[in-house]
Amino acid sequence: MSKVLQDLIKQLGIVVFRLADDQTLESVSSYPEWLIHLSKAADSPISVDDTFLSFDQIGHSFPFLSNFLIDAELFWSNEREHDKTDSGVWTEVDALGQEYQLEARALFAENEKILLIENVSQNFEERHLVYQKARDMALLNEKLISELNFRQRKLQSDIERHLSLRNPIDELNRTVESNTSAVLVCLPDGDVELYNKALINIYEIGNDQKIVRASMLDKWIAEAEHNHPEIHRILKSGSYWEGEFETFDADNNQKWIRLSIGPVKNDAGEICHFVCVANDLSDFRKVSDDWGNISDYDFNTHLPNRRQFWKHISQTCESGQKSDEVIALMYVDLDYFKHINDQHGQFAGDFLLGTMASRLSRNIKHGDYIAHLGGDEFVILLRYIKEPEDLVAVGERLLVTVSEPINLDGTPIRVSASIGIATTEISQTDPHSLLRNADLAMYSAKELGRGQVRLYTEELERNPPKRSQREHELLVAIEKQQFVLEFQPQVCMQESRGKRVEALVRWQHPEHGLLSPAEFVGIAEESGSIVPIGDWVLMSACVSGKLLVDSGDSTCVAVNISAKQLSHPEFYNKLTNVLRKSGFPATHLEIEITESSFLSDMDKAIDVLHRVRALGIQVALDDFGSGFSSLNYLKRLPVDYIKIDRSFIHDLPDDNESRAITTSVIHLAHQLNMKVIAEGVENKQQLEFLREHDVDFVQGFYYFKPMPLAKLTSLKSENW
Amino acid sequence: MLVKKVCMVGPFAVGKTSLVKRFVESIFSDKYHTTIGVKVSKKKVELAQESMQMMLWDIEGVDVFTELKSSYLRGASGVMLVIDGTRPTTIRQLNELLSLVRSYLQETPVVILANKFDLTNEWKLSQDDATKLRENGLTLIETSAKTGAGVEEAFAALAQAMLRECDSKTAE
Repeated sequence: MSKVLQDLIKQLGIVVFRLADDQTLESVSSYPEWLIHLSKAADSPISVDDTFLSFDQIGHSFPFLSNFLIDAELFWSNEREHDKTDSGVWTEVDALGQEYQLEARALFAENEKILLIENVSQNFEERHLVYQKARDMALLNEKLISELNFRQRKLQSDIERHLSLRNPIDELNRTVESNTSAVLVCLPDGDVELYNKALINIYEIGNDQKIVRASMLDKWIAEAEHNHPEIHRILKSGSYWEGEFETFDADNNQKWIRLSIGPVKNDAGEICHFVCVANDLSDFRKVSDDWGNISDYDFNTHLPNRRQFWKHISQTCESGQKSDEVIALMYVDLDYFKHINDQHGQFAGDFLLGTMASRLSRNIKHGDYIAHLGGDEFVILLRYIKEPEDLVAVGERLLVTVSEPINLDGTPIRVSASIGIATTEISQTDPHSLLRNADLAMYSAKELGRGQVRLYTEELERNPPKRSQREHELLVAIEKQQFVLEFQPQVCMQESRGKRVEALVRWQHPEHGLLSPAEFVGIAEESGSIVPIGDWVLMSACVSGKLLVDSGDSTCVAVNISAKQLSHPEFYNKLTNVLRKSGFPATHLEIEITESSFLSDMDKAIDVLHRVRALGIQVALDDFGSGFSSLNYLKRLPVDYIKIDRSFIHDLPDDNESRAITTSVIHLAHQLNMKVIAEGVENKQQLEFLREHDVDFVQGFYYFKPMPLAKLTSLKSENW
Repeated sequence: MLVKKVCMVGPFAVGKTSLVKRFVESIFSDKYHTTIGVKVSKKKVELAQESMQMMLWDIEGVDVFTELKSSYLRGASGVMLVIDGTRPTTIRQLNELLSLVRSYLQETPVVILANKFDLTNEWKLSQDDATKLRENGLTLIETSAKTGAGVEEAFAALAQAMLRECDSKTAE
């Protein structure tokens, strides 16, 4: 090597080694002073005359390097994906406590395997300063955002609760008036019912309050939809939405707000109010912008946020204007995230999001891009696609990783996701359409039953997901009373404890015939129409029960009560009214609730159940084992019966886990003085196993299918 | 003398460097000085059975700029997983970091340090959460790099666990 080059390398603070045939490192430049100096401090000095160093020698002086040399060897021996591999910065300290920052690289030069170690201390201070300030800022922001989110969500939920309890809106004035968050309560058509001073301040509209009166909600939706095209779909479905976006005040000054919109529904499940809470983030954004990419990342998931996503996809499209490359956008939405958030709290919800972000990131290939749009929504931009059909396989792989158990509050739970995928040629990409199409496909996946992957097709435009149509039909069905009841006997396994039936609702659809609950209860629960449907079921079941009593048949009738019904402030009054009007004895009524009834407010649900039982009504816990089952809380619940979920019965008696769970539940319930009902019993083997393990009642096709009341009354007593 | 590599892993600004400084040099500074990359320190530990040289890999915290490089964990005999007991965001990251560590180092002893225990008024790690972690067989020690509380105990616990792991491998 020429002396000029040698001198240059030395001046740059670099030491260069060549991997010799005997697997030693041969120095091809003279050693810089820092290397000699540091190796002395490490009690394993390297001498200026040591031209050849073994891996062990260099590892003794620099333990960090012995680790990197493994990566270097792999790089040198394999097909190269990249032209070099580097160690990242590490710090060494000399005998006087002076720190040196070093970085190593393995590379090829003229087919020689080269190890280069560079002293990067000179520029390190500047780099450190940037990181230091960025992390100081991140710490501060973490604290501010945490406090802001907490305050905003609490205010939102306080107002929603106040309105859902049918309290007068005027009573909110005192809470809202002096609040630093902007508040707007409006009717579904946008007509304003309440707003506060903070809203006026954000929009600097002085005494001219026309802007507020002229549907602020419409203005916000129009501004938000640019970056949040899914806002229409979410609000239309009656769900909560929150997000950040640019807004403009009366003088057209640009601002940045964080807005949450929550619908409040009436007894018929229709939206009667929108509660909107906003905070001005303009100052916070301005400071963040000074630090570039901090404001482009989500603090919880550490992923690029919606703002960064738009930057990225715009750049991708610009750079590929002349390309015929196909890109795909995956829209990933976690299923039932709100339920988990409600049950385990916001911190656990945030942890879940962070965990899912990490899992998704680890399962995409190098060059793909993932962002957290907000809430429970993620997008993944996939490039270099060989076969579009492969995308579904990628989506299914992501579903598997999402569904691995996660530990929340000591309880392992599984979550699922729905994924929509849209593809396009990069040169023809309109980012907004691409996101909208992926969102439509994702929504369609939800309609298909969640936990699925769906590709966008033009067919989805022509026949959008049926939910809104089905929601409307449900409202008509409630009005026209298109529901009917069937009854399924529960057969006693021990000495006779009386006759029992479960009342099951069916929808007599004018076009599609008799629909089972699986085809409409999910939509009814999400739209809120489950409350009026449940009210109808309760009344009809009690009227039917009274007919049985009057005919001398003292059958106990079990009625399913949804979580929304149970948590309704008027539930207890409605129940007593139904008993009074129908004349059905409370001691013959049983209500079946699921674990989801305890998700939002366990203490309140327990309190209601105590009052219900005091009337003489019995309580059964349905689908036990299928959801967030926790044996810890079972002893607290005022229930008389536990119904083992049919999924465990289905696999009896062959499946070890189902056997273990079933016998444990029976044993535990008996210890807690509860009776056990096994549902979904379809064959003799299942029955024998359950009988052998002392189950109290069985229900299923093995004995009886659900039947109309007339057929039930004709059954001979000795048969069940 | 046994030589063991120990990795200090955790979110940014939880006090990993301060814990190492407290343990190795018995000093503490209130000033937050962020770590970039890795810094390796050594500390000799006297155990009842023998001496152990701990090579402490103080690894840059995980944040929006930096992921945990899996290659840094290679060959580690023990891991100190550090969280800040006053910051819920770091407490929430614990399980996933633990899974990440476990995916590379299945049998390696891990000790969880809930640091900044001196900030009692701001402490967010609930007794319930701590109990659950311990019930799941994890070693959790509340530490304060500032006062030194729990620090020696934590490193001694990890050293003992590494020694047991070493003995069991030898026996096999």
